[in-house]
Amino acid sequence: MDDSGLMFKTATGDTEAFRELVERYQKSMFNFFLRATANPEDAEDLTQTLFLNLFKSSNKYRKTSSFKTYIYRIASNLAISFARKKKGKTIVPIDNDGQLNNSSFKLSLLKNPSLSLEAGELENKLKTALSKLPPDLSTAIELRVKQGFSYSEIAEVMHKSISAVESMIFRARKILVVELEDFLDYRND
Amino acid sequence: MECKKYHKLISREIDNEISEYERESLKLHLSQCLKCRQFKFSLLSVSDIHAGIKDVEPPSTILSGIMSGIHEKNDDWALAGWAKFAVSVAAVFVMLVGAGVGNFLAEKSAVDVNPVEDNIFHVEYLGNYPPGSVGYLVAAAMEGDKNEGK
Ligand SMILES: [Zn+2]
Repeated sequence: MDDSGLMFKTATGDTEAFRELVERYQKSMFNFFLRATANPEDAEDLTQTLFLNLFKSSNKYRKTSSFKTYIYRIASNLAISFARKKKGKTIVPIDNDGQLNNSSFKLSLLKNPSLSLEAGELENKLKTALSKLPPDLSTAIELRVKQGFSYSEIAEVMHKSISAVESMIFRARKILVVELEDFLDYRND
Repeated sequence: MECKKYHKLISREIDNEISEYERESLKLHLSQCLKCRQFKFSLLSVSDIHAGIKDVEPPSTILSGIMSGIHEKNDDWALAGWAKFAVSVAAVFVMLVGAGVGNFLAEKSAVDVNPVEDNIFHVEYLGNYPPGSVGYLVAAAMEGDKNEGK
């Protein structure tokens, strides 16, 4: 049975259908929250809250969009409101144009970058950088790169325009490049 | 300024959210601009590392926590459903009592058919409930008790 079918069965009180939905999505949801928070306990709490909200509101579910879009919309809202409650999560200051105010971005140095750290270490640096992004930027880049959503799908999930999504993803990428810059070995050969 | 425009196009190209015209225009610019080629390389590197992050298995406590959480919610809802039912029954009862008392008082003020029965006040009152009403059933039960006592 597809996800929407399981959701409709859940709305009738079918807890086995709901369990199936949890089993299908708990891994991706947990990892989504883990990358947003960099804290396994927060990720676990958020995953549980997400599914309990999903169950509670199952009778309001309508098949107007894909279930994946629907569940990520709830997850995005949760991740963003959680990050906003957690003070001190910010981050690299950005002005209205999305330019980095404290940018140490040196394009001239970006010739032939190669990794100076082991791949695993670099991945950890990126995870840390992702968790420090403004919550809407980390959500947008996560939906694009890890979940493979198109810009229009992200716009639907996040209730933004497509140009706003494009801008958020671009800003996220620029911040991530700056954050990882020190860990790349730039050689001018 | 020219390069800034192409930086955004590079990000969209990575996501395959670019028109053919834009792709050609970007291709031409990249062939002439080292800085933009380097910028593209850095964005691609970060994107590749991000895409390569492997998902970890969630703790097994998540599923059990969620399932016990929804059973608690179900119990709450069942309780809430029962409470609604109880309130509805109480509301119907109050309406019937009100109607019965009103009916009784109206008749009482018109003709006092059986004043001697006033000492069994409650039964007299209940005896004025319409057949089938809660009051009628209670009165019937009380009449039964009274007869058994005799
Ligand atoms: Zn350029």
